Amino acid sequence: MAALTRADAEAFLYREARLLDERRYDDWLKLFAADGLYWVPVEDDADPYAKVSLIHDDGLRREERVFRLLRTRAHSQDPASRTQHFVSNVEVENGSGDVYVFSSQLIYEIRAQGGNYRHLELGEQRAIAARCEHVLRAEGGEWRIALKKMLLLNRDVPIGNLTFII
Amino acid sequence: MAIRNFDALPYDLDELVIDSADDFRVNGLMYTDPRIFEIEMDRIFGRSWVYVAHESEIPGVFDYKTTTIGLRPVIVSRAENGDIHVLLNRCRHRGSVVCRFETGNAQFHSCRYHGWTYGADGALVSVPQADAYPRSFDKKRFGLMRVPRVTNYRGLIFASMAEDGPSFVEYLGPARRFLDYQLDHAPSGEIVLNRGAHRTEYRGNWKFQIENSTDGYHGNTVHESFWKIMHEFGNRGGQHGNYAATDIKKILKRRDSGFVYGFEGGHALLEYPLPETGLDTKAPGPQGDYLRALEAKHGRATLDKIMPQYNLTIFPNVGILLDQIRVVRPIAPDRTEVTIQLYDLDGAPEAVNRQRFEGYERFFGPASFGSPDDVEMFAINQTGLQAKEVTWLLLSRGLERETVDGEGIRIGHVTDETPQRAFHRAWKRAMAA
Repeated sequence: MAALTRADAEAFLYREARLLDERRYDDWLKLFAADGLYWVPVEDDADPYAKVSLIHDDGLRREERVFRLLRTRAHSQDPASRTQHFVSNVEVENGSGDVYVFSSQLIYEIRAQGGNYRHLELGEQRAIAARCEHVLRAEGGEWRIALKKMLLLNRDVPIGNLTFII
Repeated sequence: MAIRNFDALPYDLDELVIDSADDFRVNGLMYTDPRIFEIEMDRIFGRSWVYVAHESEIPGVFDYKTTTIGLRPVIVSRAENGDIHVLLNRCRHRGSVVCRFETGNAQFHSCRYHGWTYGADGALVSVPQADAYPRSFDKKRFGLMRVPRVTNYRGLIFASMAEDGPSFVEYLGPARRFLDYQLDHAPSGEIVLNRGAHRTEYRGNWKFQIENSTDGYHGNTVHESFWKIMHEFGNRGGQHGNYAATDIKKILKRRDSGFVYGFEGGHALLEYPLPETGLDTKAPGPQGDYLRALEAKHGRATLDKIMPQYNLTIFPNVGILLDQIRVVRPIAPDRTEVTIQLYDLDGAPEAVNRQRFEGYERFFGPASFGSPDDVEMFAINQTGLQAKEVTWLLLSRGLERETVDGEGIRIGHVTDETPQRAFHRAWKRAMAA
């Protein structure tokens, strides 16, 4: 495939953000390469196989996550989170194979989907800022996510409910 | 001035915990009233043995970590001679914290405000422009205040603000055996905290998390989502505890077998038994190697006691649960911070620790498939308790079927509220003293 332009990368990230905000999680799964990873570390450069992560999902864990969110009664997502992703500061580094896409994301989240906002943990709008790195790989004429790494600004301090897909 | 006793409150301690032969209730105020919270910080956290660190977090000379005992900021520090001190992180001059980092290595802790400097053992070693103080000023009297009693139990560091009282081993009582079992999962007998930490916070009282840690009644409802994941996907993505079966009917059956224990000291235990087929010490591969190593060390009979799935809480606020150390840190009556540290079993095959790691990550942490659903309960609890006309939370489940063994341990069916009663009896005793 031709090199990924910044406009292509932005379109890809915007689409991913929209799938998440619309809770189209099954479609979101299809953005990943089969061996792709969705990784939200606690420590910046920790080995995710040595240190606990907030999220470190391979394909199976991602499927489980989406199954949990869409097809089980998960109390921490019932009522569910509503999110709004803002994507900016997009940069692209084309290499010999994989392409690196860097971005900043601001995610607003609130559990308000039919919930009573007067109850604790509901109705509180939170802002999560993240530095994101997508490693994209061309597979059968499509760009797929080989790695989505999100470094949250508040990654190593007490953090509330992160059970939606960030 | 702290509220130091119940004379200042419009109700009596006996109105908070009702404990009789056929009734056990606790008053909702104990989760909501800021005055109770203040007394707890004084009488519970100011006197009990409180977990502050594991030795492996501060292995070297001058290594330190900072934490809290109740609300008190403390430094757990290893001095030059290897001794571990627990120091109140509060400058003796004008009250600033002298260490602002979570972990590190420092021979000295220097107050940023006016530069008073303390050694790793807490001694005040220098005061800038000290000659202006009255002649009676004696540096020796102004070291960082040491928490009077510190103990190291098999690597677990506990500290007590009380000058006197039971030793840690006396305090544990017969719960000690189960703490030993937990630590004996490691072939060398030592656990290592080298996996980092999950930290979360919730809008509810700290006692909810402790009660829940040995509650075998909530799982079928609260973790419904997790059992469905197990049913759908099996255990390939990480096994939770020693659940071998993944069929939801078998899971629910297993969840109905087991025991809970309540100890005099307020400690509590939940036990899910070994798989029905027993431990397979003949199994090939790392899991079999691991069991064989433990069997060689302890013998088969002890191995069968070590290996059930245990959740142990030590009064007031730490759990040695399954595969982790969980510290429940009260912040306010309706705000709590929880730190969970998965630990490795020293001497176990790498594959065994990796398997524990995968199982842990699937269920625990703020984005996982298990513990966030527990946390949700604490928030709905705290919200519901605003209906203060309904006074009581009922904890009488299993009261008439629990038994008491020769050591005074109360033992109930796995879904009984024996552990919670043990906690609240100790809570009441500590609050009354």
